Formats: sequence, C-alpha cells, structure tokens
Amino acid sequence: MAFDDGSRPRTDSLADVLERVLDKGIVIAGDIQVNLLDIELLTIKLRLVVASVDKAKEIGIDWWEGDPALSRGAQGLAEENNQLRARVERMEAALARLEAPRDA
Amino acid sequence: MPDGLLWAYGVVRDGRAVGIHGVEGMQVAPVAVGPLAILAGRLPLSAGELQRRLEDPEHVAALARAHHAVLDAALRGGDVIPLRMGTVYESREAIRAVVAAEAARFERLLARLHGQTEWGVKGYLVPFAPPPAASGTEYLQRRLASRAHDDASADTAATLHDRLAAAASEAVLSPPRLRERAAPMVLNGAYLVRRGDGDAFAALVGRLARGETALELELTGPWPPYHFV
Repeated sequence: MAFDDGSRPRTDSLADVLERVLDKGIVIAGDIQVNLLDIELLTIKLRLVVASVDKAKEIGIDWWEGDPALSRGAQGLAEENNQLRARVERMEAALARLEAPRDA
Repeated sequence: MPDGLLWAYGVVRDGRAVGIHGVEGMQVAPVAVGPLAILAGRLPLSAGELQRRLEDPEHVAALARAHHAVLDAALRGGDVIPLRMGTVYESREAIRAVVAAEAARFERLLARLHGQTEWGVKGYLVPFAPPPAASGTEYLQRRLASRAHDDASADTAATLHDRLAAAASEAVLSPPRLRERAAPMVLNGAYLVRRGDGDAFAALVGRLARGETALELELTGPWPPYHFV
C-alpha cells in the first residue's frame, strides 16, 4: 500500500500542471500566434526547471517519449525473457561443468 | 489596439468573476456574449515579449501555474472549459467574436461537463528489491524475476485503469510524461467524475492502493476537465 489517505490530493505539482496546461485544454484561434518551444527542447529545459522547483526529488521526464515499461511490446518481452532464460541455462551448465571436477 | 493584448483562460457560463489575479499578476474578467463568457486578462507585454517569455522555461512554468490558478478558481464556482495556454487576443471585441462564433461548441462542452471535475491517477512501479545475489546464476535469476515483476505491474496498471474508468463518467489514458519520481510511471490516467462523487472516487483509489503491492498510486484533483475538452 502506497497511497496516503491522510494527505489531500494535490493539484500543485508542476509536472501535473504543465502536462495539462501545455498539452490539454480546448484549442481556439487566437489573434496572436505564439510558439511554444520545440517540445524536445522544452523537455530538456523543463527538466532543469522542475529540478530547481523541488531539488529534493529525483527527476525524470518522459515527455512524449513514452516509457519503456509501456512501450515494450509483449512479444519483445517474451523474446527477451526467452533469451535470458537460455542465457541462465547456459551459465548454469557452464557452472556445473566448472564445479564438477571439484566435487568429484 | 485599445485593450493591449488579452490572455484567455477558459469559457464559463453566466460570466462570473473568479476573484483571483492571473498571469503577470493581472486582473481577470469575463468577456461575455449572451450567457457565455471567456475569462480574460490584460497582458502587460507585447507579442514579442510574450514570445520571449514562452521561450524561457522558468517563465513557461510561471505562466502555466498562473493560467491553471485562474481555471482552478473558476472551477470552484462552477463549470469551466480550459483553454490551451497561449490563446491571446488583441481586443475584447475579438474575444466576443470568438464566443459568438464558437457558442454552439462551448454549449455542447459545458452540457457534457456540467457538474464534473477531473481526477488524475498516476501509478509508479515499486522497485523490485531482492537480496544481493550470491552468484552470477542467482543474479540472472533475479533479473528474470525483476522483469516478471515489471510485466505483472503493467498488467496491474491496465486493470487499475479499468476499475477507475468504471467509476468515472469518462476516462483517458495518457502515455507517461513528466514525472517527479525516479520510479517508472506505468499508469497516467485522467478520470471525469461528478462533483458529488469525488470523495467516493478518492476512497476507491485508496482501497485499490492498499490492495496493491506492485504499484504506488498518486491521486491528484479535482482539476478543471483539461483532458476532456
């Protein structure tokens, strides 16, 4: 359990505010064309801003990049698991061969 | 350009004031046409100065917070449609023209969102922390176990989202984005919930969190319905 019932839900996290304000909300035509930074550049720069806002936290920013935990496909995972299993088996076999003379 | 630039925040009905200052500390007032109004405030900046502000991350952060603060204040008084940050006009007349032109769209949105607020739920992987490996084999076995742990957590995130969506009027799942924790984010959901059901939704998140060991849940809200416009 990791959810703290005692604390009130916050709406003051800069990450949460930026995620909504910069990317959500209805788009209607304005008179002035303003350009936000190239999103990748903004991401890098915002990392510094977020970091300066709360230095105590370790910061990660995955803006628009997705997260490996989600973007890894199930098929890729299964394949990687199989490869790792095979490696474990090979290493176990190798260890058994190394240990065999000592036991004998 | 009698008004100077005007920063637009959101759309409300019945043109109520929000009692809070907006970006650059400027006052905010409804610019109404009939029953609909856009909350707007003067911007003590030229278009060029605004653009330079938007190229500076610290200013972007300050503008974002101020934009949100006005929408948050508006939400306390009733329904509000958030506008994307950086919607700027040259005159009140131009804003009135937009309200008139978009009236049907605004009415549809306000009807759909009436009495609803947004809640955010983020899920972070609890780090997999086995005891130190005594051998290379154990190390690899633990890496496999760790990967299995991560896979199970991704399944858990999907299940949690379904449970939360079932308790909401509408739900949106977004890719993980900005995070303020080191742990990987595997759930980034937004849920539209009736105002009277906010406590029940928060309690549901609390119950799900207590039953969950693979993920840490973080609840935020109530938000203006940013994800649902």
